[in-house]
Amino acid sequence: MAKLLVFVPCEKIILDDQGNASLIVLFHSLDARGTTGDIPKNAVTPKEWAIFTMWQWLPEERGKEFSQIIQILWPDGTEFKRFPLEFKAGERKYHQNRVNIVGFPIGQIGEITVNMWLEENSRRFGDTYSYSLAVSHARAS
Amino acid sequence: MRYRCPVCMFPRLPYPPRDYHICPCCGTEFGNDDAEFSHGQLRDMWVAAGAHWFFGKPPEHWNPWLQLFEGGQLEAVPHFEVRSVSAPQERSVAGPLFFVQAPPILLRVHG
Repeated sequence: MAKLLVFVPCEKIILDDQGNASLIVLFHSLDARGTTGDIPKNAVTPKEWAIFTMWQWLPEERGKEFSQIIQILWPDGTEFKRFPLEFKAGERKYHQNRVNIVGFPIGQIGEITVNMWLEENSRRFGDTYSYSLAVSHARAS
Repeated sequence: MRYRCPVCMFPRLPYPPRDYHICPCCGTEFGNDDAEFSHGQLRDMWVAAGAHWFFGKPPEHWNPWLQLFEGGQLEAVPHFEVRSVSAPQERSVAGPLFFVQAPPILLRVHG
């Protein structure tokens, strides 16, 4: 079974000339402040962020086609958005995926859950991995 | 064939946005409402009124703000100040670890 080596949200992923990735600002929480009063329950801020994953394949998995599904849940458990990424496991041992996202759900105070899993032929392949990001609302000063 | 509403950016209009068709998302009647106001003005009015779904039940997990982002209308979305918190609550650090004498090897990093 493919081994997950890295699964982390960050503000930005930059690549050097050789395509090597660097992750900028690994964050675990977000403070939001409304400029014109209360923040609506469904509010989404136009923040750019990204999710980086890195997989290690077994020899028999190389060449297979997978979908990596990222699912983001609001603190109340309802789905905010799902980002499927189709890719082929190459001949190399490691595979990196970058998912760039515009929009971060800030309307509800609590834990945003980021679930991630692989699918092969629309069937789940392996475990579901989760990451929590806390959202708080700062008081207007 | 699906069309995108030029006002709220709803991407699944069954008809082109003209000929008095009405967007189920923002309620714009094309040929009538947009004869009087620009699409940008109608968008601002829809957002100012709360960006609510207009007719029937919205699609599952529908979010008006995300819809505007996906339609390229970031500036139409109400602005909130946000601050990422990245300082670890606990931290462990090792090193610096180094060779007393640098080995004569040219290193190339593969990410």
